[in-house]
Amino acid sequence: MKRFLRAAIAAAALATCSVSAFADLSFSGNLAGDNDVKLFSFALVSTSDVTLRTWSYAGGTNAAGNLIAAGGFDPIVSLFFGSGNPAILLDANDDGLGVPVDSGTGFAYDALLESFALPAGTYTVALTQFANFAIGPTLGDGFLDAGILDFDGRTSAWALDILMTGSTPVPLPGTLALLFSGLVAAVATRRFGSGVKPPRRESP
Amino acid sequence: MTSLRKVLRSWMQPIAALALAAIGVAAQASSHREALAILNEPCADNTDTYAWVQPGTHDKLFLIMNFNPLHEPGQGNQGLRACNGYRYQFHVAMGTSLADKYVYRVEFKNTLNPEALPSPSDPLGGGNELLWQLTGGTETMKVTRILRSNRPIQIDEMDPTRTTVLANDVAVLPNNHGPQTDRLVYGLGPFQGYDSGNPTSREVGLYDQTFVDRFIHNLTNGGRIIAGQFDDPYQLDEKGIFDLVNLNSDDLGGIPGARRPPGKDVFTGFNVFSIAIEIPMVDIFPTGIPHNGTLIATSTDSLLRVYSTINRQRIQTVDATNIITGLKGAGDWVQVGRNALPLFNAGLVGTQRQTLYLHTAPDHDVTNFGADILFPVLVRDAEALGIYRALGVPAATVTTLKGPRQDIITAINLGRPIPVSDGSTGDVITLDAAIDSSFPNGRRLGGGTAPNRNQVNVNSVLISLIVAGNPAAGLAKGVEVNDKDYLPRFPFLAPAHQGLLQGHGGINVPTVPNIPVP
Repeated sequence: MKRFLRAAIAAAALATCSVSAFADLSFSGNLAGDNDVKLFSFALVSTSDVTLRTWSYAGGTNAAGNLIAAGGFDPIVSLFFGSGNPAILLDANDDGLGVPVDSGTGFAYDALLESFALPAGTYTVALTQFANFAIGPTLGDGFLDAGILDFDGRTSAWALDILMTGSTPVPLPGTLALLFSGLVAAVATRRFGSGVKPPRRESP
Repeated sequence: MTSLRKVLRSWMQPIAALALAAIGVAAQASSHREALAILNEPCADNTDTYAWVQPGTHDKLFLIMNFNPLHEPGQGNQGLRACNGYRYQFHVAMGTSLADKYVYRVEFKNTLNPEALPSPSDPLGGGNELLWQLTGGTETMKVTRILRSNRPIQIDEMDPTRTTVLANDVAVLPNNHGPQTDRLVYGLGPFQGYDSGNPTSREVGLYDQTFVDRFIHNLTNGGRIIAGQFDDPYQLDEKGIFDLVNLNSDDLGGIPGARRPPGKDVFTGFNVFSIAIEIPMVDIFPTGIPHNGTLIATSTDSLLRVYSTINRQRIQTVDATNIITGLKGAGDWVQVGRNALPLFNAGLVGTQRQTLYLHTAPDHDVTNFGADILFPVLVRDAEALGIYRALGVPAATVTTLKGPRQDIITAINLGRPIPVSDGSTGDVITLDAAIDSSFPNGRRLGGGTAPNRNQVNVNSVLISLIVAGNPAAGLAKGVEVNDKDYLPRFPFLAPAHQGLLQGHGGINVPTVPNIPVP
């Protein structure tokens, strides 16, 4: 039963967010569980700089001009090149340099990941709670399932900006939802279907 | 007035010209344990980087990086071993750009096959032994060349047209433990036990250059590589430097207020882990080096921009089943160590930014560390310590030395028309492949006027440049010779100090006082 519930939670959490054609994308919501993974996708038509930034730990005003409350969990953003299981893990950030300090804890735990001169193509962003890092080298390798219990006493709220310069992002094709549904099924099956975690890659 | 003080009178002469002419002041400098973040991670502590071309023909590029320093030769059950789970990379950019053009990556893999638990009949050797060299464990490495595009390196790694394995599963040079290991493990000579009554097998080492050369491996691109334990080739009188720049009087023109000489090299007798690679220049300039053999002082087309990094996966979790590291890696690969010009992080970058230096690429150095270079803290410290007053340096000169110091940037850019902006200027070794290398045009190991001398004393050049505004001022010459002779050919590094009879040790009689006598 517990396994079934975890699988259900994971499947719900992996549902992708919609993608728009705006240069700056702002999303917000709540994780369904400590090891929930939110996936976002965007495409670049030419070489661009991309910034991923969260606001939910210390609060602030996101790119859409919305005031984001402080108090959310400690977030991680991971950037993948491509989509679906084969997407290649490029970079990740837990605590960004220069992000605001949460007045309640005194910590600056929001994520800030700046990637320069990314080539045209499709990208996937994963938003997770610390320490649920992507295992890599691909999205299909999954995540550590090491999110802090009960969000470490904070809320499940998250807020993410995806900022792009030098390129006009394009909407992803309508098949994206299907593709990610496939990913959800694949990941859920791999993790929970057999009751055994897939083997992780050894460090070289 | 001493000759040094005369030289100091002429501070702030045209710096670029002086920097390029700073040949003949000989030694070097480095970054041993210089940043807070590196103290916990010796495998990521790269201390020195060298890059230079084959003199005369310029048909080879020699790259050396040292890391995991200060190994006492005789110390530790497992000696000095290759670090698994790290990527050691030489980055080569070209022209005015700091964007990688080539990356030469070395990854180490140690294996130790577990055996059954000990028993009276357990044969010698294997994992039940106490020392690595008896376990039968292996240390090998993989060498990869990545031709970089403007895409993230992870994408190039997946592209077989850009990523080439130059060598795989080739052996790492083993440690120089001592005479018994030489015979029983390396098979370098006949062994006689204690019961022979002959101590030769316990006193006379056989680990020599011929043995070391057996671990030089050919690369598929026509180059060569060797990696393992070597003598730390760096030398500097650091006995007092970290006591708030407590230099001896020989380093400061004999001023009476300085501590008494001699300077002492604190790296004497220590080993380090080194990687030395020889790269055919056609690998980098397939159609030949532009204007090879001719110095064109305004050119940038034959410039190489070299630095080294150490990388590991972001997440390291404790894994008791991993015999070698006790860790399991996951996540993206992150840079945790960096080195290029000697003394950059140790002598220019402020403590609060030294970790940032290790974790960032040089293409953002202008933004991240520009102020550290333009306004060197060493000058302000030297003034506070009374060095300038003791030397009779005019106050106006000191004010000039405090910055902005465009001259330092001009010097490390070889006076070439390289934009002083992110992506073009940063901590890299810039070398002109069309001409012979001589620091700051490249950095060569050895090649000095004696077998244990470097071509240029980069310590003195850089500290003089920073503090005196004149690379030829002769400050901080310290110890100018190595404790072992360099090799006059690849891999240039001297063999490791032997654990038994070299390195350090004492009989501890009599004991030493808590406050030493000067």
